[in-house]
Amino acid sequence: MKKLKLSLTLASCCLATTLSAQGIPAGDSTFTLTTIAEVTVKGEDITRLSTVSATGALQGQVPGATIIQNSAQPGMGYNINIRGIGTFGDSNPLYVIDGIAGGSLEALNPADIESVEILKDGASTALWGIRGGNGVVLVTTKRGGGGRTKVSYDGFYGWQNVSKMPSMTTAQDYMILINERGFNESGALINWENLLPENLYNAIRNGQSTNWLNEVYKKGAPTTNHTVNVSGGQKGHTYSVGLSYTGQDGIIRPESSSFRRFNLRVNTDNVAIRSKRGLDILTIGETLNLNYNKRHTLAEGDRNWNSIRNYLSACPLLPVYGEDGSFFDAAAREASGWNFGTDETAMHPILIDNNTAMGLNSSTNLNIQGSFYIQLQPIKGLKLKSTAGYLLSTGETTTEEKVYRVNEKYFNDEASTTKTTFNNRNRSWENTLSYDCTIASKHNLGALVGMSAEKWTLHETPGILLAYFANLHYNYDNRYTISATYRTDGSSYLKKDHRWMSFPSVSASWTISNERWMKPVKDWFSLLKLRASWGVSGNLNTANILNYNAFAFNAAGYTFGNKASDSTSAFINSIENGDLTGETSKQFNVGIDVRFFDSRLGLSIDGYHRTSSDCIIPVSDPTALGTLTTYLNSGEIRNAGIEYAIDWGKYTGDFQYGIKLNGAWNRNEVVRIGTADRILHGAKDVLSDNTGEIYRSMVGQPVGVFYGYKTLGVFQNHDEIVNYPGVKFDDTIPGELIYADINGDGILNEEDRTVLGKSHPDVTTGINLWFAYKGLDLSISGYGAFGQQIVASYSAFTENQTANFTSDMLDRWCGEGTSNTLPRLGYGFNRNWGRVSDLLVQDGSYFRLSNITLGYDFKHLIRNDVISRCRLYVAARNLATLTKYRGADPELNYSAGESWMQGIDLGSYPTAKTFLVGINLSF
Amino acid sequence: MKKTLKYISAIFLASAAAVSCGDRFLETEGPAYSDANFPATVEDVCQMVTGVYSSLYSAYNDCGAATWFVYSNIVSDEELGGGGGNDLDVQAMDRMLYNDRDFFAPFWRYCYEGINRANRVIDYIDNVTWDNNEDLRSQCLGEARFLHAYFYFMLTQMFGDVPLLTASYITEEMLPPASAEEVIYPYIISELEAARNLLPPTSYSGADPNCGHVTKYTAEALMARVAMFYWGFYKHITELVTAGGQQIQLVEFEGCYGGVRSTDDIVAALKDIVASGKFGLLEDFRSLWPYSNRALWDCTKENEWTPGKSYMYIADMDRENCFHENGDDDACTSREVLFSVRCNTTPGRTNNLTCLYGLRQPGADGIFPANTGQGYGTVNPGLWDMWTQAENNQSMSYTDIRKLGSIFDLRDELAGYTFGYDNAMEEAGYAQKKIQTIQSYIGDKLFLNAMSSGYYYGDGTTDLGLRNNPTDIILLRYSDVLLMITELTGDPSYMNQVQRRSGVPETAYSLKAMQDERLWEFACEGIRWTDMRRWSGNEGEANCYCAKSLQNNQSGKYIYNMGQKEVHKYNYAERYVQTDGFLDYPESVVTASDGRIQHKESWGASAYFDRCR
Repeated sequence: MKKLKLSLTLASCCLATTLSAQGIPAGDSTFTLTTIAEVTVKGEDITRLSTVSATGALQGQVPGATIIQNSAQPGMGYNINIRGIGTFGDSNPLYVIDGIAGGSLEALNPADIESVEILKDGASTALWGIRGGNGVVLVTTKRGGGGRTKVSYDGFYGWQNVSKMPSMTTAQDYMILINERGFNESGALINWENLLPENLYNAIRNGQSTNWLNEVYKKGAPTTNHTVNVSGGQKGHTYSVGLSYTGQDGIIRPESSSFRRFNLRVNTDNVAIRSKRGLDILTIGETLNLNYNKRHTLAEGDRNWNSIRNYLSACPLLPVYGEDGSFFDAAAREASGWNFGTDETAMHPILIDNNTAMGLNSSTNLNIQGSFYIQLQPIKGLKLKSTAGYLLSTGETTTEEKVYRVNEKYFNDEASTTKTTFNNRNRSWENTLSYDCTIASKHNLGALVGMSAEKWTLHETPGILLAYFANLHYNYDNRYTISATYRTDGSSYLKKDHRWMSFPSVSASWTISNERWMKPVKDWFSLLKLRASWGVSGNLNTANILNYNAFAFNAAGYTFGNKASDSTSAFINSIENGDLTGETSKQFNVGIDVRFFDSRLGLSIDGYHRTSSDCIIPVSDPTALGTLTTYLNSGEIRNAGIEYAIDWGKYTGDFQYGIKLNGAWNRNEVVRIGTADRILHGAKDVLSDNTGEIYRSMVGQPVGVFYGYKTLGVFQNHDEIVNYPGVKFDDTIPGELIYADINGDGILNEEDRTVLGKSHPDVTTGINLWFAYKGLDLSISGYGAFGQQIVASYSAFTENQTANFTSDMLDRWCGEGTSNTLPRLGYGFNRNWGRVSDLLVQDGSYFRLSNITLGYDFKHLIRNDVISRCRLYVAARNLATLTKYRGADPELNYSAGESWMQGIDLGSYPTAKTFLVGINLSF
Repeated sequence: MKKTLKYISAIFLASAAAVSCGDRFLETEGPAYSDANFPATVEDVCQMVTGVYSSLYSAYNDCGAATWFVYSNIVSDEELGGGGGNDLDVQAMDRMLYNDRDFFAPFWRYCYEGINRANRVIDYIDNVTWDNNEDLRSQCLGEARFLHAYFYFMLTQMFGDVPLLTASYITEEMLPPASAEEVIYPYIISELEAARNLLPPTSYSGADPNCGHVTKYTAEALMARVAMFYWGFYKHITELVTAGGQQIQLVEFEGCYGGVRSTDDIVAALKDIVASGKFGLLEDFRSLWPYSNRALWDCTKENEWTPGKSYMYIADMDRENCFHENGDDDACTSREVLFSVRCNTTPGRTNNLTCLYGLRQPGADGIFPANTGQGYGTVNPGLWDMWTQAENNQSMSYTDIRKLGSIFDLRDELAGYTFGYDNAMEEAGYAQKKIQTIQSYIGDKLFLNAMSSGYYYGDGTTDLGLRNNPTDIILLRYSDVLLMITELTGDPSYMNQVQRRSGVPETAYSLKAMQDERLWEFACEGIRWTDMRRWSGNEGEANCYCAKSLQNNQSGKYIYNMGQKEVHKYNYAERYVQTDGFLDYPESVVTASDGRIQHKESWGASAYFDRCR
């Protein structure tokens, strides 16, 4: 019996948890439904990684979930994508915190979390209806247990350092390259002595060079977390309280980049009425998760609003300080005789961050996630439960512009401070009636019906969701299980005729190992189970889809009369589409779970096929709509993949160890885009002016591919050019790129652009190793993503011809045989450099050693009944990343405007390598 | 105990029932203002009309160089592309090629935004009660008609046939391009006829707060410009004095009651403007443009200069003739203006063209009183040469005040001007002077923007800066009305008023005289391209006026590319014949049209302006 219990808890699927997380207790665990694809990560597996963010700790622990930091800056959050991209809108899953949908995992302290369950297949997500299509993340915070009061303290303090910076050229190399380029273009050499002040010129000749990113790099920037948890209770009255503080400074300009977070968690469960036979007739309880945080954010992402990019591309000749020790600003330049350009060339990036909103941006946020429930159980197994939830997310962002004069074109004469506020609220109410029973000790039956209603205000726009749902499940003798669910959702975002959507699902499992005829092999064959499920879920991320013809006003509509006043204009700013409906996602899943040798070896494999149809696509007909955009259900995306999880462990004796390995392979394909050219176009000129569209989504390709010219090498000499049989430009000279004539029409033009790579990985993987010997423990974790590409570019190369170079430019073609990839130097707007080609595309695959922790529990030395745990540990995070990518970090999520894209590096905040010491104390 | 349970159960049931009436529960409070309840008041309609003007502003200021104004200047023989090595779009524009197939999409979008907004005003105007406000109703309707027509005039000038949307609910039939010649031009003329009948007979400069609203006279003047293009381009009547009997069939809707309009009607409309006495020529041509501003005239720079001597070119002006958009009678624009895109100092409502036309220079220091910018639309040296030739060609040579009144002679006027800065392309030493932000000292302090002076739009202490130029973009001047009358009637007296003002010998009517006079009077004002094409007729050959002018006045001239002197060579005439002067439809327009709108044959892959030089 013990073995069976183990096998069931280890089995990676359990609808009962879904129900319980929705506020429905799963009954007496007399039977457990095991038909769906789901992964549970326990709280301890989150806290042992010593991360600031709970989401970050999930990286590498969930097969099939691609979790990527939005930025390496403190407090910037994560993007989760489960089983591939299935929408052109926001592909993040639905978060359900303590039964309340729509909360934020980032607003929790990692140590507050009891468990996180990730629901992946159609049968489990169907129960979440119109919001389940991207998968569901169920978070349960810690609750009080019976018995004596437990107090624990967990804390760590760490030192962060840059793990990698892109390599830029030094002042000396920079001068060589600028000179060579100038010579290639105009045949003239640059007279540096005339352009630079004499002292500076001499200093540079003696090796002076400015590495701008280094100038704002803070070595050993601190990161810390302190958590106190108290829990306890007695006789049906339990409570849990948590209080924590988190602080993290950025490694680049901590004054502009930092994160502070305070969390308070309180919850209780109280049996108000208990029958004489011990039946909990009336139970009430509540949950409150409160979070307040303050963040300073350095500008990052966009090419025009990116401090990191400024540091990377700034001229290495420009000194940080002038002779007098103050910043080398416009006035100092003029006084010194600096003559090497005055605008982009002489942008002093530190001055910009010191004076503008790029470096002066802070925000405060308050998040409240709370709920109250009341449960009535008049007879055993019949439960009536009502839960009211409240979510609040409110905050203020402050940006500042000081008076400054960086150069002639970049100045501000009037200081200003801008504050913007937001206030999002969500109220929900859910009622369920459930009944569980066991008949004749072999027939386990369960049924549930319920409804929920939610009203929210998101960015001042109201929304209402009304849902009815039901679930029926039956298990025979712990061998055969079937389950069916049905949910119908009505959304206020949709017009009346399309308002209600239905989400059915069925699932079944067969636990073969419980068959009588398996008994002979039970000794070593602990579990064999087959699962199959099918279900429908939906997606309607409508933050910007307002389904009505709404008028907006502009107080400065036009100038009439004298110029002191503006006239207000009124105009339609959103267009209704009465036929719009939610996206639907139909998923078929088969799985097998096996365990051997007393469950020491386990293997789970899942295969799935998901078709997301009616994907919402923005349509902007410049003629019929002018500047407006409308949305149509005209896309289809298919995801198919395989996931596996293996674990092996020795759980007994003094020396224990274990290994967990998981991986996922996903094939993503756009099946339909209902626009005329079957292309969803990406933003233009993302890298620099005139670089056009470098990414898009197109039918037959994965979502989000890079797009541009393909090169075939570099012409080495005149003979090669003359004898080249393919298509070339008439005036080609040695050192120029050989372009592929993709469409074979004999002309090299924009029609020859093609797919250069994809932005999302094919394969993701995670590994966790642990060893324990008496009080000593060691764990090693890593994760990786493979098959994706990155486009990296740190300067507006078609516009600014004096930006610093990446140091791989030293390997350019500069004579026969010197390079067959990078062409001769030339202005960035000319054909060799100005066309976005595969030269800019890099392999983005990586494997990261994310955590190594070594700890010792002094409880083994101190015989003390009061202290139940006293563990000290040291840990290293992000110790190494194996990658061919030359930029700061291949784990990057910048998408240049479209949520379905990622992998564009215009200068990104470097990831920190952290060493930390910590303590876990329990009483 | 049991009672408690019953009570709780009852709450459950009641509450579940309360929200189970589904659909009603799901009705959110819609937006405060939607087409279900808007417009509700007279003021709402007025604000909707302002929204149409907003689109007009955007079509001129929110599209970068992809505006009719900049395009007309650059594609004509007045300006080259200019800019830097990277500014392929403007260089392609000059050659009637493309760098980005979607470059003109923002312009297209804003025009159709305006068209859709105008249609909504027209369709919904009677949703509100206009008791005792019939005049205002007429004005709103007239303005919507006028602006609708103006957007179509711009679109057809640039693209030829385009979809004609005439109602706020668009049908399939409206979406393919309609024939500009057969359908759209008659429609434009009809709308202008309606506007003429509906709008009040007031001066454009009007009194505060009405200045900037188009009037009857704006409609009449634009009607003449449109009709003259129609007859010239589509009906091949190069010399309009001979066009007696030409007619345009009108369409019927409120304000326009069918029938035809002939050249005589157009002349009558123009003479109506003259007769109104509400418009006139400013005494000094230079008064129209910001470079003649009073702050500059007054400035002494720590007694280095005496008043009026800071900028030699305006030194001989009378102080009271200094640039004064505010007009001379407390009106809000000068009396010479019939139509303009009005700008002010509010961010998002400033004149953005000045940034494009600013000089491509490292800083404002050496080029006082001019300013820095993108350096687009460098003036074609051929224009300068032609002008100089004209001045010396007469039996008695003269100085046309408009030459230096319209063009910077950079080498002569701005001592610190350097060629080739920031990879500057297609420089020849000339820049347009009419659309510029002008520097000036106010007291002893140097201001990047002379409009910061308390005399204009600032407080005299804070520099509005380069980007906050509040000066209007003038689209139609009274001198145009005068020149059009002469061109239509052959009566030179109207043209002579214009010539007299600029110190140019008065001449008799001839087509050649008209062509020259219009070139000088409106240099770099975005008018020449329309003129060149109407004097050529559609499907013009390589020897038509437009092809010849483009070729002879531009190709073969010396220019500087990145500081290096080169001969500018391009076969403008051949390309003009290929395209007939029309642009291709923007890529996103073609894409979204579902096959209804096709790329034009002459704009295939060979029209790609390759960055390979």
